[in-house]
This record gives sequence, C-alpha cells and structure tokens, in this order.
Amino acid sequence: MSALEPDELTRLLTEAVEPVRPSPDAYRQIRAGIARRRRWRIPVFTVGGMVMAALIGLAVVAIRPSPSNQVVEPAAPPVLPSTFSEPSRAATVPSLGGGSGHSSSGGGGGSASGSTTRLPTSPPPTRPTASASAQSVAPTSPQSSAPSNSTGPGSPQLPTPVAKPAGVNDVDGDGQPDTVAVEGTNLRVRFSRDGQQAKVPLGSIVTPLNSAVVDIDGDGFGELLVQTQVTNGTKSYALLRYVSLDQLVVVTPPSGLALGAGVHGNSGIGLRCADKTLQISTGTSNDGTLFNVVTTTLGFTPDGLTVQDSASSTVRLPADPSPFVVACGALS
Amino acid sequence: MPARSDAARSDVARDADAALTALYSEHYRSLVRLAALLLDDVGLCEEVVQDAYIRVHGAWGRLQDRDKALAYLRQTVVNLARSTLRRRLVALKHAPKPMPDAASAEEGAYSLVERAAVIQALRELPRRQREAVVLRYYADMSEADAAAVMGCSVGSVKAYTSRGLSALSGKLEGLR
Repeated sequence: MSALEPDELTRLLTEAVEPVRPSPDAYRQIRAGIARRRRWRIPVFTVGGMVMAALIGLAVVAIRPSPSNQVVEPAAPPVLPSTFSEPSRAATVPSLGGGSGHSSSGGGGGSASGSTTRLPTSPPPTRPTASASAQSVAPTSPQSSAPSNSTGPGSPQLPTPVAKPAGVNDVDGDGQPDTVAVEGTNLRVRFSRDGQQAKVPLGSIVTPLNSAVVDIDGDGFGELLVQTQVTNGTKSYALLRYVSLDQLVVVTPPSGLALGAGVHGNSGIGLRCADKTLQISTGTSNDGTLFNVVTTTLGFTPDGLTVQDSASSTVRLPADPSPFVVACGALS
Repeated sequence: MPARSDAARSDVARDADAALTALYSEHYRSLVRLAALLLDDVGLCEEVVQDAYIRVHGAWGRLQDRDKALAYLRQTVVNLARSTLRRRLVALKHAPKPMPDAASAEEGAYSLVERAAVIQALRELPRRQREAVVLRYYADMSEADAAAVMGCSVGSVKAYTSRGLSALSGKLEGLR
C-alpha cells in the first residue's frame, strides 16, 4: 500500500467539492440573518439588563441586615449612669437614707431623719431585680464615666430626628408616635422608626400605665416619663431617654434627688419640665404646712442629668400653689 | 457623547458591511466547500457558513485585528461545523432553506459530492483527524494555523494529520 501524497490528497479533496456551488441568494440570506440578529439584539439586551438589575436588587435586599440584626456598639457605657445593669446601682442607696445604711429592701420608709431635703417616702425609680433602693452611682461622678458621646445624642448610632423638639409621643425622632405598653414590670416601647421594640425592666410600674413622652431637652427625641409606683401618697417616676437606635436607658437624677411628686407628712417632692431642663422640688416642713422648698434645676448632658442651679423658697400649703406635683406634659 | 458613540457605531456598522461584502465575494465559495468536507451532511454546509458570516459581522466591532477576519471566519466555520456534528443540530434550523427554486441543481451537486469516494473515506475518519486533514490539505493551513483553529497543539495536529493521511491511503488505494 503506497502512502497517499499530500498533493494528491489536496487534488482529490478539491475535486470532490468542486460541484458545490453557493446558492444565488446566499448573500441575501446572510443580510437577512444580520437584520434578524439586529432586530432581536436590543430587546434581548434590554430584557437581560432588566433581569440582571432585578437580580442585583434582590441580592441587595437579601443580604441587607435587618434592623434586628444591627449590633449597637457597646464600647462606651450608655449615656447615663443608670443603665440596666443592676449591680452598678447598689451602693448609693444609703445616700437617700441619710447615711443610715438601710438595706435595699427598705424602700426608704422612715429614713428621712437627719436630712432636710431627703424624701424618705419616695424611693427612686426602681428597676427590675435590682434592689428597690438602688439608685445610680454614676450621676455623682459623671466625669469619671467613659466618654459617652458615642452613644449620646449626635452619636453615629443615634438617628437624625426629623424635628426639634420631637412631636407627640415621638421617642425615636422619626416624626411618628411610638407605642408604650406595660408588660408586667417591664416597659415595652415599640418604635415606629423600624418596628423594633425595646424592653425596659423597671421593677414596678403603675397600672394602668401613667406615662408621658416629652422632649424635655429639645433634642428631637422624646423623653419618656413613667410612673413606677405610689407609696404613701407620693408617686415615683422613671425617666427614660432614647440614646441610640432602638435603645432606651433609664436616667436617674444626681444623688440625693429623686423623681417623684406628692407630700407625705412633713416632706414633699415635685417634678417640673422647664425649658430644656428638669426641675425637682424637695420640701421639708415642721408642721406639715410651711415648707422650705429647694428647687434643683437639672440639665441634660450626654452623661445624664447634671445640676445646673438650685434655689430655695418657702411655700405654705395649701394656700400657695403646691410645688409638689408633676408638671411634665400630660403626666399627672 | 451619545452622538459621538452613535457615530462610532455607525462607522463600525459600515465597516462591517463592507468587510462582509468583500469576504463574501472572495471566500464564500471556498468556505462552503470547507464546510462540506467537515460536515456529515453536505446540505448543511451553506447554513453553517452563512451563520459564521452573521456572527463575524456581529462581532466586527470587537475584532482586535481586522486583517485576520478571514482566519476568524474560518475558525467560526470549523467551530460551527463541530457543534453541528456533535449535537446533530443545526444552529439556524428554522432559517429558510437556500434557494428552494434551484433545489434540484444544488441537490444534484450535493449528491455528486456525497458520492465522491474521498468524501466517504473522509467521513469514516475520527472528527479530529478529519479536521486536521481538511485544514492542512484543503484549506492549505500551516500546522500552527490548523492548531489554532482546532484548539490543540501543533504536535497534535501533526499526529492527527499523519494518522488521517495513513487511514485515507488505505481507504483510497483502489482509486489511485
């Protein structure tokens, strides 16, 4: 068998396909194919682009973290000394009791002796499991706390309010009223901004709920005042402040002061919301009618409530208007 | 900016049309014959080549070296022929058959081709050997060009060509 020479194979192949002739309208068919391709290109590209955009949009929605997954940076302690951590508030109770060192279970009943401005019947806004008398420590030393501007107003975690001051019942500053409800001894606040809820343990809450949202400091986020209990005719309140997204903290006044309203025996206490300040009036009396009243003006700072001013006066009850009431929004 | 891009697109379209016309007039026939050697069914060769022309025209704006348009066209023909063989499916099966009025003449030509002994022998070769033989000895490509079109090494082309040539020698011995 002799090998096939390349030239011979070329000749054979050329001869084999020699009969093949292109069809006369081949060029026309190519042009028709090109026109057909052009005609479909734009719709196909358009639909493809829309599908791609839709897929990208779905992917973005799918991977976007939901508000419940957002982690609030816990690096700095919350704005105010009295966070929800109970242990931090244990030691200061004695100060309310005039140094008598009564235990947390006392509630302050008759411990007013020895201190002119003490209000024995109004235990501080209590917290869940913490001892009822545990008032916060931090207010007395705000400077010692870690820088709180990371969680205070204006921090990156704090949303931008839509109006200053905040609107009616607007805690989170979105212009919409938020919902406050009681759940046992917990206060549950549902934020209209993102539909999330904050659960704040308060130890006790008076039912039906007696609360008011007032933007006391005018920062665009409403402060929440809640009546926690009533003891011997004196009402106690808790003040909650919106410090970051979906987070409320309990604000406690400086040592020696409490949020309350009412008169019991020879002592009285009152609460008033003034121009970006909170005024606490404490009064003592020898006869139950003539009270020496000390009005302390507290200002809101990122670290909590700080004393701005203090003034003394004399009030005779019931002839004079009583300072021992709560005058803050619709709170009674 | 949009006006400029529209103008550029218009220029590319004009270039593509001119190049298509030139490539058609010069190489269409040889490409159809090349496809006839690569395909099992000679009747599909024109469809394959026309599809290759359409694709090259569509990709004209992306061609980096337009002087190599013929090589690109050949490679497209080979690829389409390969796809057709592999899947037994014609890419443009819904396209109208070429020249229905002249069907008898074309079919006559195709039947001549089908009956050629060398074509019969070629179709008995494995696909790779057939492609190597056709590209080397009909399209007159170098081994490097054939390797580029086939997507394999030059050594493989040499091996396929040698084996294909040897096989064809045995099959066509009686004709020589």
